Amino acid sequence: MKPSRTLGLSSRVRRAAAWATLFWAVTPFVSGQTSPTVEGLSAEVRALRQTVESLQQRVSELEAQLAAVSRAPAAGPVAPAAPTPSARTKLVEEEDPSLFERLLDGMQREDPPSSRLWIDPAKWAQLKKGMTTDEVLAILGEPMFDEPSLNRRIDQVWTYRARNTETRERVIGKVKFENGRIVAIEEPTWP
Amino acid sequence: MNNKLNAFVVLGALGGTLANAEIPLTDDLSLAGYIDMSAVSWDAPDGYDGFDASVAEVEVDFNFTTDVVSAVAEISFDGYNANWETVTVTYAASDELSISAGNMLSYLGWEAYDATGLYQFSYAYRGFSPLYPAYAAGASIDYVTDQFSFGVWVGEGGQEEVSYEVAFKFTGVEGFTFFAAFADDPGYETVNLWASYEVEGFTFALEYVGTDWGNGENTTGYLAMVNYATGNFGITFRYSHEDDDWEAEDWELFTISPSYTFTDHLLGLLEFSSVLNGEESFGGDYQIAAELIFTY
Repeated sequence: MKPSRTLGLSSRVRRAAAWATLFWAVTPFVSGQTSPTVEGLSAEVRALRQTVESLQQRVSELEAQLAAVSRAPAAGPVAPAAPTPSARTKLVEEEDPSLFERLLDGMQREDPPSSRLWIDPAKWAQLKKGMTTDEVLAILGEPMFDEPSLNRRIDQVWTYRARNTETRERVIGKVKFENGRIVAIEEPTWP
Repeated sequence: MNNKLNAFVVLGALGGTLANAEIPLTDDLSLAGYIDMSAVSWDAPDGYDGFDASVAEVEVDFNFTTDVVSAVAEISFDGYNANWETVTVTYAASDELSISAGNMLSYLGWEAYDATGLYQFSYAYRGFSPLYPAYAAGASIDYVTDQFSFGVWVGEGGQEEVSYEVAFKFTGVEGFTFFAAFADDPGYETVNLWASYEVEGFTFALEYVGTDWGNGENTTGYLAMVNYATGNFGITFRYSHEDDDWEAEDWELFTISPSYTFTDHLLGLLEFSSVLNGEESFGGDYQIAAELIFTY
């Protein structure tokens, strides 16, 4: 008999063989038969031994397959459940994340600290008409949008916006400039 | 309050600031544009009063910007034809110096070409048309500082010949701008001078345009404009004059145009223009217009 690689499996096989032996030994008494001859008992023992050997061989084969799957891919072929993707397909998948993955990445992306400076009413309270764009940058940070206006007295509109993750409400603040100086401030409505 | 303030997700333009753009497509590419609609009523010489209401123009602008290279592609659709306007690729050699190539607007003219840049509905000169060229393909070099800017353009001038323009702008005094340009086109030359001054809500502008047609005939045009804007309300007064040597009459136009900015992206204006002189050669005493412009 081949030595078992896994003691647990081997012990289970031994227990199974023992119960089988006990069953066959008890069965004649349960069934009401008379005591078998020695020759009959020997035949039964031989049959049990063959059963145990075949079970142990099967266990060994299964252990060998398990060990082969656990080894590195270069070690040899494995029987996968699905076809292995080609190298080209795998390369494309690595370089081209799905739409869901891109959305998930965008949602999990950390906002840079400088983009959150303006989320503070105290910062907006520091703004005064006549301040320059540099002064506003130092207080509120970079705006989300820097756009022109159809109003003749406004050259630039800086927009800051965020969404409250609890209430889903959008918060928008705007600073408007003429000739590089603040002419209007639209402070966000804070929750 | 602090805990609630921490519960914000910044809605950013893909992590960067977009200048002059409304709709970010990628980190470097954005889309903008405007919709211009109007209703116009005019008096015709034969006694038939004309009226037209239409979506005058839909413009879509694609803007691509990196650190040193930028590109612009503007498409204008008037309901019948789609035309390229500004289509350029620009290389910023430094903060002041840039080189551009493509289809670009002439340096000349106080009045803007697009409706979003005009203080009123109409152009100033005969037939309510500008006296300066519009778009042409070519290349330009521009040097821009806070005090002045200088540009040279060379390109296609029509009739299979080359044209060039040279322009200078002075902005060294707060609120005051002086502009001078010369354009050499096949068969004619144009000189354009204009100055503007902004103070206390007022914008004053004066312009002179002179074209030598090379055959002894000239066209001279000039305008004077005052715009006053306070809050969302504005009003423009404009007097313009055009003298063409081959026309029997000079053209004189007086325009009043109140406007109201509903939001930074929505403007409405009215215009009443009276042809003071030249109605016989042009046809018509007046033009009344209502215009709505939306930018995106």
